[in-house]
Amino acid sequence: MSRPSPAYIALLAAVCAALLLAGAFLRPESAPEDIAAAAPELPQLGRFADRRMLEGIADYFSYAATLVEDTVVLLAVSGQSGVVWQVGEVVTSARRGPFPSTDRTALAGRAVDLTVTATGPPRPYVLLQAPREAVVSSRPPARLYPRGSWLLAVWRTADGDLLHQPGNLFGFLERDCGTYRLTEVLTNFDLAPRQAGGGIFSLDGGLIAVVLDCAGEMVAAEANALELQARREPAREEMFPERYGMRLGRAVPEETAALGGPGPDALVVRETWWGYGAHRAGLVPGDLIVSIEGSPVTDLADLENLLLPVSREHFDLGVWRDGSQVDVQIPARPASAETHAGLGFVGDEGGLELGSVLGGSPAGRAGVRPGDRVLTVNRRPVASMAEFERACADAGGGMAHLVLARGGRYWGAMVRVDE
Amino acid sequence: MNELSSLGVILLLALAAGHLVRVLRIPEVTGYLLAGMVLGPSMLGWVSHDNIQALEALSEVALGLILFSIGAVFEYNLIRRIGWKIVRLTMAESMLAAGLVLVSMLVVGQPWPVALLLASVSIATAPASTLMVMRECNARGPLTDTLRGIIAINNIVCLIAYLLSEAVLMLVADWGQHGPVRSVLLAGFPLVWQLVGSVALGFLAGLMLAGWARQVTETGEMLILLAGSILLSVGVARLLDLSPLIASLSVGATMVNLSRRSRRLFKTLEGTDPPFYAIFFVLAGADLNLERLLEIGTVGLLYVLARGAGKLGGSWIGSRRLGMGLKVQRFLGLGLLTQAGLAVGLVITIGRRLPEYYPLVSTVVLSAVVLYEVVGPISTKFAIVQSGEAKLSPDRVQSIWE
Repeated sequence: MSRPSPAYIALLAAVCAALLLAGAFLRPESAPEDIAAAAPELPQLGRFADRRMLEGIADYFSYAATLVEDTVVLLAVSGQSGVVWQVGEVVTSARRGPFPSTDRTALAGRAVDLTVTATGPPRPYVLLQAPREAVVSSRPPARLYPRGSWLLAVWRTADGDLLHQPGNLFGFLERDCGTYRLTEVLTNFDLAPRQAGGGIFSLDGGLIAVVLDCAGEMVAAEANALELQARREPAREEMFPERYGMRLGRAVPEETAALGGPGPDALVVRETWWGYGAHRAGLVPGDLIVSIEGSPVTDLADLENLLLPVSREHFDLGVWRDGSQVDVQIPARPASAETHAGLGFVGDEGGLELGSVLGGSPAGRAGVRPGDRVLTVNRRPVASMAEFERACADAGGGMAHLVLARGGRYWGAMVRVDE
Repeated sequence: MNELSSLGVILLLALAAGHLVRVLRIPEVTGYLLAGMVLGPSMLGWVSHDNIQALEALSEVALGLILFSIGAVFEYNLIRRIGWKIVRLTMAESMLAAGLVLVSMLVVGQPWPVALLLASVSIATAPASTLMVMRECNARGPLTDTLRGIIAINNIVCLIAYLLSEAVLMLVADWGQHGPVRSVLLAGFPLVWQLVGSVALGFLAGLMLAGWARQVTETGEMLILLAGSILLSVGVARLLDLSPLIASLSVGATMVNLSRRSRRLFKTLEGTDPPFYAIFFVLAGADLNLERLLEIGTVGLLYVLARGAGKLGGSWIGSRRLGMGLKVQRFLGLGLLTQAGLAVGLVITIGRRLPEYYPLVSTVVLSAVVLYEVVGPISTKFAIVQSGEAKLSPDRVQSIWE
């Protein structure tokens, strides 16, 4: 056989080398991986899509759950799961009704008492202080994880057993949780109340989200974003809700008019929470606070005493309601654990349940949502559509003061009723 | 069991199985595969998945050597003599098998991308087990020559068909996402790169091998040189996203055309490589999951039947039209039924690049591979023996290329 000339072979070799070099550099970024030849892939045959693989995945998730075993704790008094947030600090979900002021859990194999340091209606979470060091969870920014990443929801049962459930990351949503703004981590977990306070972790044990209760809806709140707000010093406006379960504000003229207030300057109760001091004292949204211990009140600063640590049992408030002043005794101290452990059920609140609310309507703009209940219109209780329409007609057009309820939260809203 | 002891068990049991199957008159390859199945995780579990993974490198050497041997069919004189015939024959059996699989999958209501992918995968015929059976039978004759040529070209045709299908599916899925130029580049690049780049790489490695072989006189040195070149080309191919299969073929083709010593080299190889092949096939058998057979289903059975009918029918029609001998016409198809490595490799590639079609394609192909890997070598041996080309002297190992 005739052999090709050396020059020809050298030329061919140069062309081949150039081709390889050019191809290696010009490969598109997403150039797919190699088409494999036979043998190297044969050993993988058994690892693909067979029963062993499913068992392997289950084992793997169980293993990932053990990584966060010390991070997810059971809070003995409230009966919820909690997540160790940082050294000596545990976070869990707020819930309907007040949270006990102290709780117990086991950290690093020892039972410890926890003191609540931040809780209350504005926050969907509760921070508890532990006296000693504990395992700390890392909180990687969830947005670093690509969509579709595997996540693991981990929580504890009332018996202290660690349960886990795998799922996937779908995205993020900025949303309101009551009056609180948080970043929801969207997943395919079907989150249930029993998971409240549990964590959602990446498979390497990073805390991605905490499962919080937003008015009965379980939401995976991104841990990183949550941290920033937890560190913020609460404003005075936020301390009333925390301690007494009520939100106050300076009444605007329309409110004063609708509520029949005594003068232009008044503090109006905008919101109360079921089971908290203000609710137990009988305060309702729409009440105007005019005095404390006999001294007139025109500003939030006048109620400073309510926030100070005091030894007395209760404060006397002068409240203007339905055209006359009534005296209300509000308990001076937050509810104790014994009183409130196990609370969390709200019975039939009465009122008229709203089936639908138009997004751009005055009610929609005032934050009213389907499922909310209208309790009163300009202080007149309504239980049917007819009563509601009659009360709106009696309001004489323009603005009316509505008291609404949703999941243990009662709030007042000025809504234009003539549209 | 650790890797060394499992390697020892593999070799000894492979030998025992080889003796045993000789009595049963089935190919040694099948014996190795059966031994692997018995040892593997599906049955005894003496060879675990971890063992298999640890011994992967040995499998790589073995497959590289097998494909290097097959590359010898691209010798210039031989190609000039029967090349065109072989190409036409390969096209006939490949296209009929792919066509029948495509149509039958569409008829039973599979989505067209799945049907297209299955059709392209169905073309592959396993080169390693076919070659081993030929060697074992010491086969020589027109059928053996034709078979050897077809298994070399058939895998290239399969790869091209698969890459084309993948390009079409990617183009359909990506159109409008990157702009036309980038879409076409992304879809078409693997096709061109894997073919041209792999051939270029194999040529360079073969050139080095041929040049160096002139300086080497000892058999042992020759083997070191050969193993080094094969491993290097397979490794670089993986690094550059090329096809190790085509690269190894190309090394063999370059070597056989450029070096006067190529025959001696191939002969050296024959004398020393049986342990590698035993390991290769036992490992392949160990990783065949027998439970797969239970999942084969209607679609899988249809795939097996359509592919078999296409291979048998296509090679019969092709060889008849090309006026080949009666024995070739009758038995060629039976030699083309094996399916293993490339099919599995393509399924894994589909899992990476087109994951939406992976579950169905993998169930069908992987269950069919279990079946074909057992039945294929037996039917190949049957074809060779029946055509009278088997000398059947397994004690004497003979060069595959004379």
